[in-house]
Amino acid sequence: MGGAFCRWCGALDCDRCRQSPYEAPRHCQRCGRLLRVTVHPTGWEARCRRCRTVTGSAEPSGTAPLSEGG
Amino acid sequence: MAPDAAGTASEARRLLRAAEVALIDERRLLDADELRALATLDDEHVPALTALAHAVRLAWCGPTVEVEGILSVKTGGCPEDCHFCSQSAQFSETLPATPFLDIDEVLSAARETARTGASEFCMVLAIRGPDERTLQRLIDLVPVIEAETGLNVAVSAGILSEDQARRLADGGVHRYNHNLETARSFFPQIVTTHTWEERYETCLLVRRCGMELCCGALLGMGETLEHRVELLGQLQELDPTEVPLNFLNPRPGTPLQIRRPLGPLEALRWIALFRLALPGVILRYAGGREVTLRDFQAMGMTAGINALIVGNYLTTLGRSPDEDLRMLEDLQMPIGALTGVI
Ligand code: SF4
Ligand SMILES: [Zn+2]
Ligand SMILES: [Zn+2]
Repeated sequence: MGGAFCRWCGALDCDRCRQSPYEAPRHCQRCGRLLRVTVHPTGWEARCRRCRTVTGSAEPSGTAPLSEGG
Repeated sequence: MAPDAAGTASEARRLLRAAEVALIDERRLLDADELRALATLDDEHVPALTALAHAVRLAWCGPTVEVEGILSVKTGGCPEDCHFCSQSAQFSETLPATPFLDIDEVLSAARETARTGASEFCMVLAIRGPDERTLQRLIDLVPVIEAETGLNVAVSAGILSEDQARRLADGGVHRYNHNLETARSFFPQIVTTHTWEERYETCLLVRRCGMELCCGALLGMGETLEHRVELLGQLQELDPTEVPLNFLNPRPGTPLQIRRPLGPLEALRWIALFRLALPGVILRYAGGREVTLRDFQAMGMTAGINALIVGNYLTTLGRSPDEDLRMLEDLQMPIGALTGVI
């Protein structure tokens, strides 16, 4: 494979979702599973239980670069 | 200009002038007929309508803008079926349920809110109403947040019993949010698991128990102009301190995912009409403003809005607080706490 799962709809190599800066991701890019997302006033975190990763942003708008940790 | 167009323009000026006299000189509320007439003005009169709404806001409330941060402390898995909501467990593909956030997460969100210059912090829960454990957690959190941040604490936890409302009020909850969302006659098309009357009853309880009532609306669900005028009358009757004005941002997986967001001009028209119907209320920009108004967001602030939610919403993201704070500075609108004008 080698493709990535869509952060919005969870499909592999999706080319139909348009990224909005006002949406937090819903699916893990590595495994496609639904993320557990916490949105707070000036940022958000998304955890994948399967991959044990945490992605997030310290900026409200989703256009801010993602940080990733394990 | 064609005679009928001239007639329309002069009729529009007459309606706007009559509304100005009623609201600024006589300080009386507009009735449904007056609001309906203003709601049906042609699009070309929307700038005049918003200018009047801004003048009414300044006359009744002054230039201050109230800033608030909100946090979903318990997300998803809600048993109710509000057709616009991504947190309902009744629809496929909606958000997974997450448990009540721990105290450190809540406090850190409250501190973030305080750093933006906000005066209000609202904890929101995706539930029908609180069980004992949830209620007690909220009551325990309120004084801690207040002491840590100096913020007024608001809560939105669904339908309340009288005893629960009293305990929240005694526990220091400053304002309680419970939205009517839409007109009584349209509500059954949007929610079937509870009634509009149940919501109304909780709103009355909140006021009776001494909390400020925050009771919002959601526009763009397919309601008609008549439904919106009806809702304005119902809000006038309820007389809340605050009305958060939401615009539908259609959520994937919900029955209303097929709707399109309101156009910016229509949104501005209705911001103005909310101000003209509810001259003394704290009228807050809430969810959906970024996708609905786009570049028109500053215009809402001169169309009757005098409060905003800063940063992110419950499950969707907002624009940066810095952008909003710069907008308020540019508009020369000071930030501060507001309370309803009686
Ligand atoms: S009660 Fe609140 S959280 Fe639950 S479905 Fe309705 S709007 Fe969503
Ligand atoms: Zn996709
Ligand atoms: Zn994963």
